[in-house]
Amino acid sequence: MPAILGLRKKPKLMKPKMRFNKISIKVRLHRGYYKLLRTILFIGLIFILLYPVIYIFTTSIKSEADMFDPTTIWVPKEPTIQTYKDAYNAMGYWEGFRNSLVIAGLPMLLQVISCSFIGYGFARLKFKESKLIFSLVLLTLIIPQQVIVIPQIMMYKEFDIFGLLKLLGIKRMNFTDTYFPFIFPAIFGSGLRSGLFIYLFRQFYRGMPKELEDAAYVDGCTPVGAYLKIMFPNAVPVIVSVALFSFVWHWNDTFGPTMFLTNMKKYPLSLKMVNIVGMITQSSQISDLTYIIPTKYAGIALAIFPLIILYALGQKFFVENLDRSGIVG
Amino acid sequence: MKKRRSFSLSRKRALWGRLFVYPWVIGFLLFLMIPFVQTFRYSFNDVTPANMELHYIGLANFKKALTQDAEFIPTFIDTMRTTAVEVPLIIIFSLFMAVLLNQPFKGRTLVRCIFFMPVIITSGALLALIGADIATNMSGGSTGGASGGMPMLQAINFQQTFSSLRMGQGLSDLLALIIDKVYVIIWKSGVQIVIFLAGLQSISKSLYECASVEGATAWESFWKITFPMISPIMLVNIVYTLIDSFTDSSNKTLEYIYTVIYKNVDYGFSAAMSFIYFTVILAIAGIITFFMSKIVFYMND
Repeated sequence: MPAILGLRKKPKLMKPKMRFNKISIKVRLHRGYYKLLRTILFIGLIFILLYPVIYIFTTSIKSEADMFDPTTIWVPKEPTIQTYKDAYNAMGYWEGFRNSLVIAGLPMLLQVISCSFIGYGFARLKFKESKLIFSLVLLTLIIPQQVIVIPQIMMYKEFDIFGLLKLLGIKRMNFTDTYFPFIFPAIFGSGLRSGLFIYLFRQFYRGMPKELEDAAYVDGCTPVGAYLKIMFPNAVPVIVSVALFSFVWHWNDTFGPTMFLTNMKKYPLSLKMVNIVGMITQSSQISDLTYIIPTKYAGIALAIFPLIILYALGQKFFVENLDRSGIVG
Repeated sequence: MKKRRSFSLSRKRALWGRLFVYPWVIGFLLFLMIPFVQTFRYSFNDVTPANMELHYIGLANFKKALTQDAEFIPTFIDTMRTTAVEVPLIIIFSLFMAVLLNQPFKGRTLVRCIFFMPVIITSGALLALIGADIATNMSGGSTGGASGGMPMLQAINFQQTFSSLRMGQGLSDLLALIIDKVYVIIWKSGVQIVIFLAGLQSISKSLYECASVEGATAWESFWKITFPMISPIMLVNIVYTLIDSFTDSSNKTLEYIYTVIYKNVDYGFSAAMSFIYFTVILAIAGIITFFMSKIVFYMND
């Protein structure tokens, strides 16, 4: 049990036990009903939430015999892990995994660094146009990527910094089919949903006590020094939340990779997952779709598996103690 | 003397502030502003896809979208209707769940873990991929073609049930739509529950203690304490949900715009539609923020 549960129990223990006797039977009965209702509600909702996950898993280990056996609905009679091996090979899992790691991992790191830096500027250092720029940050959240994607592709085909490279006579570079379209914007805090992350960091820094910073200034720190020594190291809860969100959203993103990548070898797992049926039929020459369903689900399970591991590792920071995550300033 | 020093200090701080914030401005101009302006230019032109040559045709693309195109306006209205139903339901459901998950009970961490799971694995792609299969499996029939959600309750004809209860047509339509959406709403509420729960945890316990000493019931303290204290978070949540559903890639209007780009290769027309869409989202988000900010309660003010 995490610490917070312990904390919550403490005041209860300190109350005198006499109190329970004073509560009438009627009230206790009401409480019992309430608890029962709540438990039933939770069980129902958990069923709905877990249904797809269980479905993916049980289908993925079904053998061919199970697929054609109408009595097998949930638990396969002859479970097999061959489907996982097939899916692993058909998808080129290792390659896709590495690609996804680059597409999700690098922007995540860069977004945490850039967004926290920018967020601090908005939170603590006042200047005239600060509010105007911040409203622009929020505005960027509203622009659907589909709206600007064509000019973006054109831009990455002949990349130039405000026409500067052309002026200097340097050959403009083609960045499509590379991972730069995911990395460059993240450096400047304009990547996938960066506006939201800047907002979260700003809220968190605004809520931190001013005295901490003042102490750093008295010691002769510049704002950059105060940020690096005091603010950033103390922002661990919000860093974990932002890192998790950023990683997951980049990992699951199919729109960006579809737009900027054409070479199959550069596809991340998310794109491989979307095209999984084609990949399996191509590698195994099976055209009967019923045969490949378990393999398809094995592929889906493999694609989301790293996220579930990551979630299990990060949930300690994420699930409890949300009030320190910077979501609320 | 003192005044001059503080002035120069604040100026120094402003300079540092710009150092922190201006990298974003560079990124914004380079990666978002240029493509955005470019799209704006496309919308007034007929674009030849092969060499990206532009021919100025004025407002013809906008006229086409608003008056001639058979699909844009109906899809757009459909998207609006879906959003108008989904957003309030997601907000109410996630607030309700957040309040329940904030109470102490056995196994809370586990339950929370499961409730936040959609944050991790929901992606339009995954749901679209497995949605149809699961719908078929659950209802035992061939519902199929479920985009984005898994309407497991579709097997029952709610529409008929409601009209047999002699409700108004509008009301029974609305109820049927809501029931259709149950699954989608539960799956889309992950982030909102996280945000609400964070808000609930930041409300000081002493307020509730005060209220219970004064004899307030749980119901009263919800409306008199929780609700006003959570209202700023609610605004954030509403705007987030709105934007999320408008910019989601499984959104019908965006799908249509995407088809026009890739199947019809009509960049000018798609740019015009994108612009109409963007302007409407902006207006709706603005109006909601304006009216909400009047009723939002801030503790520190």
